Amino acid sequence: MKFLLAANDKDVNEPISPVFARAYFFAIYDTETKEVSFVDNEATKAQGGAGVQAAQEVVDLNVDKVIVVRLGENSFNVLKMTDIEVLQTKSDSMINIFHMCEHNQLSVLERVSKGFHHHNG
Amino acid sequence: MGKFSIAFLSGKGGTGKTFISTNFANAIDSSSYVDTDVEEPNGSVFFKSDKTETESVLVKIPKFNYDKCTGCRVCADFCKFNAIIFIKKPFLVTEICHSCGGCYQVCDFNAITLIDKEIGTVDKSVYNGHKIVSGKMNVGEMSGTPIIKQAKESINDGIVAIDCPPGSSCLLLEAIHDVNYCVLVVESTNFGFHNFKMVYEVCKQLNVQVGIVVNKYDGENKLIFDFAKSENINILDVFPFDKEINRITSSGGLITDIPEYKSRFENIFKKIQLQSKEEK
Repeated sequence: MKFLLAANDKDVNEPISPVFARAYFFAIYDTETKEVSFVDNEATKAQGGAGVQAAQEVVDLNVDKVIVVRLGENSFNVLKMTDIEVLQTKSDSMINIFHMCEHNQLSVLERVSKGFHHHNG
Repeated sequence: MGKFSIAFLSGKGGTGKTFISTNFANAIDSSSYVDTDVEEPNGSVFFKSDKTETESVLVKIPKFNYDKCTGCRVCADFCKFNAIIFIKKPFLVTEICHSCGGCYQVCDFNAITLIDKEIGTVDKSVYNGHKIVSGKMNVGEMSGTPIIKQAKESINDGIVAIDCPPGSSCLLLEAIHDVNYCVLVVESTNFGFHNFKMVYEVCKQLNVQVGIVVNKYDGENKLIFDFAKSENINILDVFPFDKEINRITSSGGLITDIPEYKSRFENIFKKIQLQSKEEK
């Protein structure tokens, strides 16, 4: 199984990114190999629609679970269309969060955040 | 009679674009008023009318025909607004779509048709012989430029006062596109002056004639006057920060119903006409 979370540093001892779509990287943990890999999040460069683009990237990465501190409406609506499970966590180091996820200690995301969309005319 | 459009813009919000443009339209016989501040149109409150005609503003958005779609993903990759997501097949995120029609153009399999979507309305009424037009964007829409375009197109002749949206973004560019003259309404504050310079720069780039109306003048801040002098910009009039003007306006009245103010606005128009002939 593959778990994914948003990261601003390529170091699993660093905390998870509090934001999803505009985080610099995605950290992916593979339960079989026990290894973490990082990929760049191209959505950080998006002028608009970053939530949709980031979710699209995640879908294309073929992960099974996505872990977030909070998630915007647009990202959520995309992920909802897939079999990907969206889990919620408090801020913690990435390694701890992956560990909790592997031991089924995280709950399903209940609430999405309203973003600051439509601000640039 | 041809069309002569005068845009009222400011950069900063709350400087008095609506105050100046509504009173201008009210003062100049048989002129029209077009509110292009589609995100928050309020000019029409000054022109009371019980008969308003409303027309829809429609844009085209894609609809996918999944029988024809091969899943090539070209449309999703093409969309620079990230409005098309691809999960085995394309889906539209309607709120993000800018109606550019690009996906329709790049689809090699005729799997996309364009369908209508209402993004706002244009209200039309008549007040004392003045045509009053007001563009209004539906809540949650991405871009109001098509509404501004349609609102402006509903007046074909005569003198048109265009009340612009604040800022210097796409909405403003659409509002001042093809106008004959721009009146920059400036508040005599540092902030007002700063944002004035931004829209002044836009007007310069577009090579459109400009004049300044200083509004809410406190008698102290001279930044705008110094700048106007150095750039040789026509100052059309100066309105003080005045309780009486405020009382009339805040109760939904027009100061140009008072003869003294009507002639002041007629004078502004004369100066605009004169400048426009001279510089031609």
